[in-house]
Amino acid sequence: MTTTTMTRSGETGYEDMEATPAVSRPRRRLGLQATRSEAKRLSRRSFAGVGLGLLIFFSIMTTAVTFFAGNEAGGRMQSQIDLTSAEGLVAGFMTGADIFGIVALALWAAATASDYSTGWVRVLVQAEPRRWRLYGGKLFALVGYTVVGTAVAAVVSFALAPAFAGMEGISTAAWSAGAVTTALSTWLNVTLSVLAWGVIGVAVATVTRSVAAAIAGGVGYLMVVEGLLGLVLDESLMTYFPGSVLSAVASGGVADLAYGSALLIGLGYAAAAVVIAGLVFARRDITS
Amino acid sequence: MESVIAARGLTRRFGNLTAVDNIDLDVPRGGVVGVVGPNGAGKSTTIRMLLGLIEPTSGSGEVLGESIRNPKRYADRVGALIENPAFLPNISARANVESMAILRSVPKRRVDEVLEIVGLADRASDRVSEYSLGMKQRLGIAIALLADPEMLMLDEPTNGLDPAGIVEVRQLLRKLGDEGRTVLVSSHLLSEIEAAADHLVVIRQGRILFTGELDELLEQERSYVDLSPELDTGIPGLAAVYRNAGYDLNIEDGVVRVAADPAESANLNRLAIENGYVLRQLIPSAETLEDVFLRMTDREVAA
Repeated sequence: MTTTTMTRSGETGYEDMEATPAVSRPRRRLGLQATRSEAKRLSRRSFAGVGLGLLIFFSIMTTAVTFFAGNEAGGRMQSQIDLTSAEGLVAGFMTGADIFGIVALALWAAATASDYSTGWVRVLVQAEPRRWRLYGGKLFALVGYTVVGTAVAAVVSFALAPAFAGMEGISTAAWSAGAVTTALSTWLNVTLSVLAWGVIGVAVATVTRSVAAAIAGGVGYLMVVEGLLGLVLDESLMTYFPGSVLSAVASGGVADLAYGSALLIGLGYAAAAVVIAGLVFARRDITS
Repeated sequence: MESVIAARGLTRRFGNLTAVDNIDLDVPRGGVVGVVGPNGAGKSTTIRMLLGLIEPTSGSGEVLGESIRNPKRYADRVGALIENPAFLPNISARANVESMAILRSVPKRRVDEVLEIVGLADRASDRVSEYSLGMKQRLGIAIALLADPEMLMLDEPTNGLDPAGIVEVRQLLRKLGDEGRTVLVSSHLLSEIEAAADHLVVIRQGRILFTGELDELLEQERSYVDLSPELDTGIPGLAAVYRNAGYDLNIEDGVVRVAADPAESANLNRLAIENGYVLRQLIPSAETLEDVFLRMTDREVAA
């Protein structure tokens, strides 16, 4: 198969064109094309830059608030963590888990819903009719970016924590004991929580196919609906709602919900979101 | 004749609306096939079914010998531009094409090739949001060409283009067809693709009204002579004269339109005079291909 060149120079522009060499037949290797293709789109500044910027910004903010406001008796953001304990190093990052989750929800939802609002999903599905493969590729790419993003946010927080502690006169003597393990486990827990928020964002976006509706719905639920439900439902029941469960995962477990249970329930929510979004994407008419 | 597209009884309903109604379609390999019909005729739905983007309600179809219910078997060999060209607007044209090249496992050098083919190489670094509709259409064709497909399905690729842009796209389609590809292109305007198409499918209200070579449609062009008597009161009498002489005719807007070759104009004039009618005007005319298309589709509406 040969090809020709289109020019605006004149109506006989094609006759003199030389044929270009035939392109080699596409090869499918390991099925990673969907992930790499999605990663290429996510690497744009408007997404990767904003996403990483937000995570870093909130990491700095929550770390500062944890040490400066949380250290004051009766302060509004008083930390529940003893900042002089070994967990003091990670307290700021851990405090930001829910906010990081909201950022992930919004970004994952935007990355998904924009495929519909721009019509790009039609192009994708025509090129790769195996929709589960496309969907999996998107999830893997988003997971990759988010893991990198939370890692950077964690490093920023862990780097700032000693400085902020010094400024507030908080002893960091106990921080060095098992610091690496504490930092890694905290990052892992927060990241798992954030990833769960992300897949919930994908599910909402796949169902609504609207960036605004997905973000408003997801964030509104977390910030408003779950809070309102807490006013009318039994407190023990609220422990098992997504917001509470994922906060517990990020914190490595809380008094009302052990880490193992929180992780199991959180995985259940994430799995449900993944399956719902996948089924909707696989079965829905994406051309309408 | 080898068919690269074969459909039998293909039907698609959306609720109570039958968008495509039991169509049979055979498209020969190579060349440009124009699918023409008014807006809402079912062109886009047909193309979407052929691409496997939506499933038919009933009937069957094959593209490149593979069932349309299993599009992954031919997706690598078909390029498409579906409806309005769709891109991620906030990244460059090149990034859009590169992203699709990765998905299709196409070598990176091909990205530059297709951008060159559609004349966008110089603007490849610009964000798509800065592109005109015509440039977006061309970028859509570039993406469709990425995998060097045997077949292209382009849904209204000339939509929104200025006359120069339409000519360019038409020339590109013609050239691609001449290279041995099968280019299936839809349009609601016959005039936009008649110059490029070898084979036409005329569709209206979900049904195929004509399918065949362009020459076959040209054979359906009619010649006629419009005649007006001096007084409008003479129209019925003049019509009767020609009818008695064996001509097919109809009366439109105060004119007796007689189906006849323009060479018969003198005879028609003589007949009028011999029967006592003085003609105010006598205009020999012939239908254009567009007239045939409109007559064909209007007749279907009336039916």
